[in-house]
Parts: sequence; structure tokens; C-alpha cells
Amino acid sequence: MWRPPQRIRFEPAPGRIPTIEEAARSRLFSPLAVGNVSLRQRTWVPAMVPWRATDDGFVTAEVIDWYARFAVGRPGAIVVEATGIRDVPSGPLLRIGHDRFVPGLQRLTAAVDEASGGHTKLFIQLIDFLAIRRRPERSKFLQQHLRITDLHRRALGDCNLGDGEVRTRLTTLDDSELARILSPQELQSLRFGHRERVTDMEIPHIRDLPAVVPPLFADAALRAKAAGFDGVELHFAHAYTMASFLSRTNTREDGYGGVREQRVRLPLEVLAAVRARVGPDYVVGCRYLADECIDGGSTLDDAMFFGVAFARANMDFISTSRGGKFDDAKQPNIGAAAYPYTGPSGYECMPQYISDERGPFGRNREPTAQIRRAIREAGFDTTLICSGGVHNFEMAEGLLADGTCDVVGAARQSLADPDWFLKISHGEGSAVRTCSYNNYCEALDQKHKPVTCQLWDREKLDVPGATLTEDGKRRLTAPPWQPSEDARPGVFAQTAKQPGSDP
Amino acid sequence: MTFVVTEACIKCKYTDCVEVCPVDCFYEGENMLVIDPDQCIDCGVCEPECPIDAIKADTEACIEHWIEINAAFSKAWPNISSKKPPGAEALDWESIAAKREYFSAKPAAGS
Repeated sequence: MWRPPQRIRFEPAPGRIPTIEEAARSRLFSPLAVGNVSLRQRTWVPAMVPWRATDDGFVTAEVIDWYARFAVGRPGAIVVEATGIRDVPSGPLLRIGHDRFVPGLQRLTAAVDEASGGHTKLFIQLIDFLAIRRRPERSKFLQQHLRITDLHRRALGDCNLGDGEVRTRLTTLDDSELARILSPQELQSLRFGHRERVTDMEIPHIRDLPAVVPPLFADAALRAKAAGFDGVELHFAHAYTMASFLSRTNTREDGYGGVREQRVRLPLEVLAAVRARVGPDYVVGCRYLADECIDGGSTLDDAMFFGVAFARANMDFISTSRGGKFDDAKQPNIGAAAYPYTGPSGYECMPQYISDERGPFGRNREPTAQIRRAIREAGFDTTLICSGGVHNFEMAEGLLADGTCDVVGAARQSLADPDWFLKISHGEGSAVRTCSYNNYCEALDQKHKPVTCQLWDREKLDVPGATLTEDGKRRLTAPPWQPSEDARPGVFAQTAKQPGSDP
Repeated sequence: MTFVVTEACIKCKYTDCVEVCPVDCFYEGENMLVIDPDQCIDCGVCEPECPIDAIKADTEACIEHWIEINAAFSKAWPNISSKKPPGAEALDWESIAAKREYFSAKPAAGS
């Protein structure tokens, strides 16, 4: 994981803790209509991949437990992890590319509804991604993967060499000689593993993405609706297909790349296809980047343009992220795949407690405020969701008070304490377990291990009902929270519309 | 910054730390452990696990020697991610501060 060279340590603090009455009057705990649904409060758990699905992409009991545990804290909304829209193997990531995935997802929506007492709205993030291969052994790459061309023969100075002889000669070269002979893309495939890009126009299935992708998203959204989700979040962020279309690095010349009006074309066509399939009343939002945070990437200026374009096209909500690109990812070990959260742009996406002067809390605050301002000035009231290092009431309320956003997202803080919304609204804010931002969770994610939080995963392992990782070392969900004895039970049912309605 | 296993680990090697590391970045020598600085993510979870406080942040004073040892031997020794029982003499060596001369460059036995 990359960290800023300044290496300044930041310590998250609980901030000022509100009383029950103050929480009840707050913006954070006030309702908000998002499209056709009403959030009971403006708290939001963004999509996190917990590595709990089966290798075939099905919902497991562990997936259900994970989301039900968040639902117990009764946030306004939870977004289910990035779920693949194609019917292709993609490891233990959830999938929605076929009707056979719907029954499992139906159990998931029912479980969340039950666990939250009907308080929490549930969205699902729909994702498309292109192929990425593991970093190969040098010899295997040169002997098998590399396609031999006349460019290689020319560089070796003998146009009559057979493929086998070219491979043999390349294998004997040292790294710097090899670097002179291979093309930049071949070299990249050798050093990082081959990765498809939206600009690989010589590959038919890449060239055809603008025709293929919209119906895939539309079908997936219809399945989400059938499974009982309250809406869908289109994944237009980070290192994946749709973000790659939005990126300034997209140089396609087929009308879907180049200037930003053309880069936003496919995302808008996806939205239109989804909207046509699910109808005007179903909630459709997206997550996208306020800044790609890479050299030559899209900037806030682009993001403001895209945000207004999405709002104009009736996107119901817009959730911002930043960075998380392959372009500056760390070189993986041989046999491992590159991971988009390992370079400087990855740091922008999930900043750790060791940081620079700006710190890890609220790095997307000002960009999101500017995007929201641009959307409002264009005359749209689209819901904006800001996240990134939000870890206490004071900060969350501040984001709403200063007009940064309409809803506050908090992923890692909600993982650290899924009850933090409930505790605060309950007047027990001092009981909130504050995230340390050491990114233990993200390290597990990178290892493709079940994600847990260091602050609770070895607590109360022997309590009946605790489900553990296969090795028995970690619990998979946060221990239950018992409100203190003098807590008033009615508070659970209390909404922000009823300040002081003590039972 | 990363975390570093220091002198106190020599001949104690309690291995409590390896259980909690989310990135499995501990490597095992004959009589001590080291952390791979390229894999360590600075989460700090291992630091309080060590019963003899052998794990230090690399920003602490006078541990340059151990920073080098960790960097070099993490590339040579086998990975360890499950706790093992300590050696019979571990307890005796806990109280001895100066153990540098006993450092063994050999990898853990059986590897």
C-alpha cells in the first residue's frame, strides 16, 4: 500500500457527542426523499466487498449475516457490494448476470428488511469489469503468452527467425535489452499481468462494448428490482469499465472517447437503458469519481460536467469517490493480479491514518461540494452522497450543514461500528467504536480474505451464535450491542420527525 | 514507516504476532522473526501482541540495525502465518536484553 511520504499520523476522534434531543433535531437524522424512496435518515453505508459469496457468485449465509449486521444499526441506506452483471466466473464476488442469482438476493433483501425493522433502504451496486490476468513468470510469458511479431524479429536483427527461436532469444536477454524490444503494452503485461483496456479496439468484444454493456446493466437492474432491492447504484467509479469510458485516458475514436461529451455518452446510454427497463419510479443512482487522481486522468472539472449530465438525465442519486485506478497500482508479485488500491490514486480512495497535511478525513469533501454546487446551479436537486473518512457525528453533520452533500456515507466507520448511527440517535454516542483507519480491513480485502475489523474480530469468539472465519481466528460480524439499562426502548422506533417523543 | 522485529525476539520467538497480521508478512528464522517492510501496511496490530515488546516502529531511535535485518532476512526466510509453541528456553531468554550476538541467519528448521 502506498502512503504519502510526509507520513503524518492522524488520530480519529469521536468529536462532540450530541444528546438524544440534539441528534433528533439534526440534519443527519432527518429524512430525505431519494427518487421514489424515502430515507429515514441521511446515513449511508457505501458498497464494500467482504469476500463472502461463493466462487459461483451466489449469496451465502455469511453474505446475509454481513448485511443484516449493518441493518441492525438502521442506517438510512446500505449499498450491497459491487455485483457482476455478466454471467461469467469472477471468483467470490456477488453476481446478478442471470436469473438463477435472484432467489439468493431475495433472501438478502428480506433479511435486511427484517433486521432493520423496515428502516433501512437497500440498494445494490452493479458493476462491469474487463479481464485482468495475474503477473506471469518471465519465462512463461516469453515462451507462451507473448504473441511474436515481425517487430520482435526486426529488433533481433533477423527477419527469418521462427517463433520458437525468437522466444528462445528473448528469454536469454537481460531486462533492459528486453525492455527495448517489447512494446510498452507488452512490457506492461510482463511486469503487471495482461489487462484489457477500453481502448483495445482490435479486440472485438472491447470494440463492441457500447452495444453490449447497456442491455447487461438493464437486465441486471431488472433482476435487482425483482429481488426486492429499493434501487440500483451503477458503478461508474475506480478502475472498471464505465469509469474507463469516463476517463481522460479514453482515446476511443468511435464516438465514445476523446472529448468529455463523448466519454460520458456510454454511461448515459447505460442509464437510459436501465431506466427504460425498470421504469420511471425505480431508484437509479451511480457512484463515480470526483477526481481520478492519476497523471493525465479526469479532474474535478470533468467530474462537474459529468455530474450535471447525470443529473440532467434523471439520475436519482450521485455518490462520489476518488482515485482507485490501475494506472498507478503497485507491481504485483508473480502469480498475483494488480490491484487498483495500491498506488497513490488508491490512497486517495481509501486513505490510511498515516497521511499528508490534508489528512485521511474528508479528502473528497471540497470536490463533492463543487459538484453539488454545479448541479444545483444547473437547476437540479439530485441527491449527492459524500464519503471518505467520515467517523463521527460532528463531521457528518458538518458535511450536511455546509452544503457538501445531502447524505453522508461512511464505510470503514460503519464496519468498525455498525451500530454507530443507532448509538448516536440513542444518546449513547460515547459508546461508539471509532475506526482507527489502519486499513487492516483493506489489507484483508487485498489478500482476498473475508473482511473484518481489527477492533472487534477477536472479541467474544466463544459467544454462542458467533460465526468465525474458517481458521477459527476471527469473528465475521461485529458483536451485538446492548443499549445501556436506562435506555428507553421507544428510541429505536423514534424518527427525527418526532423530537422528544419519549415513551 | 513499517514495524520491525528487534533484538528481544531472539531465542524467544513467541509468534503471537503472526496470527494477527492481515497481510501475512512475518518470516521465520532459526531463532527470531522478521517483518517484510515491502508487505507491512503499518496497521500496527502486531505491536501489542508481542509479550516481550520486540516489535517497534521503524521510526524509533537506534534500531537501524534491525531495520536492515528485517529487510534482508524477510527475503530469505520462510513465511510464517500460524502460531507455534515457543522453545523450551524462551522464558529464560526473556529477561536478557543483549542478545544480538546470538542472532542466527539460518532459516527456521525444517525449511
